[in-house]
Amino acid sequence: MYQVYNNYQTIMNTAENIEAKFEFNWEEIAFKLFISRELDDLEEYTLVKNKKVLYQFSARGHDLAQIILGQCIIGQRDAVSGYYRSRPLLLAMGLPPQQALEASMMKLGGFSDGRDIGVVFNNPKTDGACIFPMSGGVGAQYTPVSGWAQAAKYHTEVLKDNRWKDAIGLVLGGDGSVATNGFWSALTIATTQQLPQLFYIEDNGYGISVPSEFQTPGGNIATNLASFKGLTIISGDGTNPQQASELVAQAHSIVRYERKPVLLRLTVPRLNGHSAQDTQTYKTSQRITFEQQHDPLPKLKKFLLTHSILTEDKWHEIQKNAKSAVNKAFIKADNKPFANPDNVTKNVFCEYDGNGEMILQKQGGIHLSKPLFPPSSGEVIAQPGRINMVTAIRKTLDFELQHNKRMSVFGEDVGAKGGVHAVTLGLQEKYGKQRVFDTSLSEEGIIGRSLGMSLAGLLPVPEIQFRKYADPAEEQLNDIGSMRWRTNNRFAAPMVVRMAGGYFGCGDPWHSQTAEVKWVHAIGWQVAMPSNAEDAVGLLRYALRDNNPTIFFEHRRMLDDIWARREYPGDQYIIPFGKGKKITDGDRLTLVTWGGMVSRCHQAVLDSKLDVDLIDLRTIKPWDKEMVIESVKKTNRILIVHEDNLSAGFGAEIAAILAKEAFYYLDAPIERLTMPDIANPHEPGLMNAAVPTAGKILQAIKNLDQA
Amino acid sequence: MSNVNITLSEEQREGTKATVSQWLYQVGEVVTANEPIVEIETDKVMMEIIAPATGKLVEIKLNSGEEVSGSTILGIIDQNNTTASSSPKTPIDSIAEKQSVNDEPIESIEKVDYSQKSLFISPSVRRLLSQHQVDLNLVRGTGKDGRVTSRDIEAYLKNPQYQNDLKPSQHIPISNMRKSIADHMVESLLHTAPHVTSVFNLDMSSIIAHRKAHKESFKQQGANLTFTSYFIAASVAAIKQQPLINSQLHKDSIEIFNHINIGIGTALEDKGLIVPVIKNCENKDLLTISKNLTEKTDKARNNKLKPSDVQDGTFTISNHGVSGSLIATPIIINQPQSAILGIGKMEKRVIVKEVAGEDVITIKPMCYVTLTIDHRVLDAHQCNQFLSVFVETLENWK
Repeated sequence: MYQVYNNYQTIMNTAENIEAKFEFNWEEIAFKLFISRELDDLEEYTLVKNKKVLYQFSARGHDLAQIILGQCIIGQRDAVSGYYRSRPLLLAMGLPPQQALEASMMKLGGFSDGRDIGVVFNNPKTDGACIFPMSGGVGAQYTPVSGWAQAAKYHTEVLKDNRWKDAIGLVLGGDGSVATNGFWSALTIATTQQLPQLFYIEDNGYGISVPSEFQTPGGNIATNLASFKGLTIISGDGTNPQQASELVAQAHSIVRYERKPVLLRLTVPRLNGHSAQDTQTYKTSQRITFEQQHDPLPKLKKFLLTHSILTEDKWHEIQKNAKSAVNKAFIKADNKPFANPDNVTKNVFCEYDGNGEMILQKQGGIHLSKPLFPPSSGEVIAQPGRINMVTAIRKTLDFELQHNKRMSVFGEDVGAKGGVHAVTLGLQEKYGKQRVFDTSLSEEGIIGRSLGMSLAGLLPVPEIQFRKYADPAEEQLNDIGSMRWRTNNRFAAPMVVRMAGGYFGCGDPWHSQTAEVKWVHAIGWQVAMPSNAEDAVGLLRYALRDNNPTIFFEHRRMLDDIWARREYPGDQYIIPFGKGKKITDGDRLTLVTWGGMVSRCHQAVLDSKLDVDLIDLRTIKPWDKEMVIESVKKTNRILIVHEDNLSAGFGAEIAAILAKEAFYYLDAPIERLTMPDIANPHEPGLMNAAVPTAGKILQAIKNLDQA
Repeated sequence: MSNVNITLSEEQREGTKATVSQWLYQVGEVVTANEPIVEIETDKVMMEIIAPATGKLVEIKLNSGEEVSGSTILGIIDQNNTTASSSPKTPIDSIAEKQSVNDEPIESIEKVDYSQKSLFISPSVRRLLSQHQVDLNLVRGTGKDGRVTSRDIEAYLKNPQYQNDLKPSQHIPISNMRKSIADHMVESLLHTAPHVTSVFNLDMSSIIAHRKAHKESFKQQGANLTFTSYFIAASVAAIKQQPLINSQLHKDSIEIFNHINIGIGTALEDKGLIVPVIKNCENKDLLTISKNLTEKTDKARNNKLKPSDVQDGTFTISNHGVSGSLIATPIIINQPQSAILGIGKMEKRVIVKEVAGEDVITIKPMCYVTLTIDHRVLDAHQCNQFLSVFVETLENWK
């Protein structure tokens, strides 16, 4: 329970003992420490009380060590991701106090213009250390930084950009975060790939109220990781200025110059509640006394005066200046307006100006580097001889990899094996292990690192082997999708996530899920579901050249289904999202579908001998609402068929939109034919009873026609 | 023997051929003695056969439409069996059962039942109705339960015409009575008698006055005094002056009857015509005639006429004017009679009368009376003589 602050242990896993020197600016450290405390006091004692700040997290006790560490983050291409108690680090990295207050006071001009809580910092910077938009979810900060560290290697070794050669990724986490999946996933990635990632664990003994013994046995992650291969562990007292500065310098040096992952753990006291609302009744009075005895502020004063770095007068002057600076900053921030509510729905996806030009985010994705793509068009220039969808996707990935050096394709079994669905066969051979590679078995890690890689200006194309396995990655996927909106277009993380799913010769709950509606409902994701090889080429190429994150769904059965085979439409072929395709024309009724159901619907329409408007949506976010409504105006009857289960499947969204926007054109109730609310059955007989077959679709067509 | 046969009654056997119309009970049901159990139909009249005994109807030998005569057995009652059994399945029931077993697992599309036309108006139909002038009643509905769909409205707008949702025509079955009437008319008018008609004017003032004066007292004696009673009486008088009217032509002779049996043509709305006969009018006074007539009319209205009620007429009166016609010609002679009298609608008309040597315009309750004769038997002379006496009798009634 009681942290040991006075003796420090340094565990070095390397044989060499690097003499790590760093010139710290102690006056600056003192100033920033006072700023931090002033901000804490102002917010906690005044602004929360008068409700100008609604979410408040003081950092007293954590501050000294963070400020020391922050002074090291001066690389041209460094990145930091922290969590809600990381403001002292950011102050050390140059964050102005006014901006800090604008953020916590929810003003226009803060990190998110009031859209996110104040402590979720971000700072886009392409010519200095940037600060990732932090996740509100503890544990999600780790693997994105791994992605950044991997991107540093990529930029240096593949793109030959020397600005990245000593770039590091720094991630902050508390002792509670070492229990999270993200922490372990990042540890695996950083150590197996030997990435320049610095894990800084601030151990204050508590995760809100839960003691660190719950997060790791014995409460000390550093000792527990002692034998972890490929990881340098440094541990000590974060309240001792001398020790802390020495350990920070060592850790920094190893990561930056040896290009190896380091875990630095410093013990610090949390001198306040978790947040303004926390009264800390779970701590004993002895504990609180103990913590207060280890307040780093008086320790710093003692250190500076003892070592004659500052005089007492100077110390007080710095304190006064800090107080004054914070007061001035507050007045300025207080006078700032709030964001206009009329704009609250802006910047979910990339927006365009009057000239049709992208209004680019400040950081993330490839478009900031003004890529020159080979010419594209919607014209099909077919090569004779049909190919299946597997081949079509592979050809497209190949062409785009060839012409976009920032693009990389990766996932479980993607590299040497060529993918369990054979889509990436041969690509690693052609493009090398840096660009086409295998990953550890962690979807959280695959997607989390994609976030970091995208923020580093690359185009990651991760693969989720089966739709169901996106479950562990859901947090990262959600955070990627919402990034543009919650930073109000400061950051965005465009990428193309390939997911396989849908029925095959059989089904099952783990490999046949489609559940695509999940990503329609999430904020900020585009969803493409090609039904055939030609559409797959056009849609994939569009996704790879777009400035938004996209889920590209590869239907397992359609990958090699005879109906889905088409002639290769050419390396120029591109299909903009939000455009459906009319497969058959008619005026009896409208049939809307996508993905694995299109071939069955086509068969049913032909068997019905009725004139049906058969629409393959191709993308369901955005979806071609205009085409569907125009069709319903003509036919007055609509049947929606999808493989996903019924309740709140995407068919429900279409039905709701039509009920509102095509109400006066409906001659019969809107019909949906889907799988019932069950997981996919395995045995083929059960599967065919559950998933709509051509026969069932035919009957539904007939019934609707006669209604 | 507990079994009792169901046969025609004595009286029923006398008539012309009869057919079974419908059984009022099914096999297996218990019937009570003297309760009507089966309807039979003769030329014109519906008759009931009552149960000869109480018991279970165990057998039906003659079904609807089958001919019955003489002592033919229609069915059998078991006197000793008085507990009803569950009705055995009719052939129709078992067919229905078979069908349900063979039903397709997939729901078949329901056929449109035009008698249960759905009144549901969908949003798109509602929109079209607001945009176009369409009378929904004129649009044929092809949707489920016959509802009007937007396709129907669009088709109608392309080609507006009254689209009756029924078939262009419908077939209704011919009753035995109708068949009988049809045969009779053809036979009489087209195959037997050359019909010629004479028209006379009749001033009804006298009988109107007489009737007004005597109606109440007649009523108290059980007679509904109608104009028909007068017409019967006047016919009798006219026949007595011209007996040839009351005759029947045979191959080699004309039979002139001494009895005057006058039949009164009575309409049974859509079912046809029936002619109850007042027998032996030659000796009856107005009151008696009226009583007889009342009795027969009541019977006719209540479907209680027996064959004897409609047989043996020698002369017929048709009161066609009651339903509005002024003159009807020819009125088809009721074979084997020789003539038929028609009474037209009574109307107040302006006529010219000579009063004290002067022509005077006066308003009188008039009607046209016609006699259609069989010109084989009668000539204009007898015809008009009859009518003259007939009219004179009525116009001078006291």
